[in-house]
Amino acid sequence: MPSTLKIFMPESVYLTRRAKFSAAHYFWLEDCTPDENFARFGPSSNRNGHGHNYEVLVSIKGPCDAETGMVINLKDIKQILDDVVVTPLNFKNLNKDIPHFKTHFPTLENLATYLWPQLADAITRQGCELDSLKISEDEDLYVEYFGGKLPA
Amino acid sequence: MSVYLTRKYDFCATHRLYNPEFSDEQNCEVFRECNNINGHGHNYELEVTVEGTPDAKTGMIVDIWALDSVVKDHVIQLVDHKNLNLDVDFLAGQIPTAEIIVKSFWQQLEKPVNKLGTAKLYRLRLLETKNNFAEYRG
Repeated sequence: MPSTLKIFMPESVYLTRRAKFSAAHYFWLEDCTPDENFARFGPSSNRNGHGHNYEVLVSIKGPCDAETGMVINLKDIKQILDDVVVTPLNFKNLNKDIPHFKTHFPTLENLATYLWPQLADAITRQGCELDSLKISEDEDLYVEYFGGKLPA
Repeated sequence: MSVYLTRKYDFCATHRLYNPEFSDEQNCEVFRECNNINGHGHNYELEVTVEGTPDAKTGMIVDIWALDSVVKDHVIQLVDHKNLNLDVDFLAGQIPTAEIIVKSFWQQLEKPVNKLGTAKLYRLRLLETKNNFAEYRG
C-alpha cells in the first residue's frame, strides 16, 4: 500500500464555441412618454426596431475524454447551440417573437440570463459543465455571465 | 494618377424582405426566414471608396472630415437604429435587400461626395454580415 493516497483529479480544459444570430430589438417603457423613452434609451427607443448581428460564445468546462481527446463532442455542442440559440432567435424580433422578452427588456444582460439555464441544462445532460457565456451585439459591447457564480 | 481611399461606417437597423404583391406562400418561398413578419436586424458596415489624385500640398485626395459629414448626413443618420422598411424615406416602397440598399445609398451620396470637389465616388460596399455584401459602382 502506498503511504499517501493519490487522488486522480482530471485537469479541466475550457472549450468555447461561437454561434451567431441576426435579430431586431428596441427599448421602450409603456408607462413613459415618447420623450422620456428617448431620453433614457436614445435611438434604441425607436419602436419600429433596429437590429444586430449577435454573437454568443459558450465556454464548456470539463476533462478531456481519454478516448476522443474532447471536452464535449463538437457535434453535440453545435446541436445544442442550434436548438437553444440559433433556431429560436435567428431572423427574429426579440421583443415581438420571443415570449420571454414581452416581460423582460431584450438587453444583452437579460439575453444572457435567459439563455443560461437552457444551455446549462443541455450541456449538463452531455456530462459537461457550462462555465461561461459571452454575448455581444457589436464589436464594442458584450456581456459575460457565469450563471450567478464568480468568474473562475 | 488615381488613388482610391476607403472609409468605413457602421449602422444597425432592422429589415424584413417581402414583396407585397406576392402571396404569403411566395414570400416564404423566395425570402425564407428573412420574411419574418416582425423583421430581424443586422450591424451593417458601409465602405465608401473615393477616387482622386493626392493634393500636392496636403497629400490627400479628400478631406476625410468633410466626407464623414456627407456620409453621416445623407445616409448614416437616416438609417442608424431604424427600420429600413418603415423609417427611411429614400427606401420607401423598395425591398431592402443589400443590393437595393447599396444602390439607394449611391443615389444619396453621389452628388454630395462629388461636390466636395477633390475626389469622385468610386464604389460603395454594404456588408450585412461578415459573409454577405453587395457592391455598387454607379
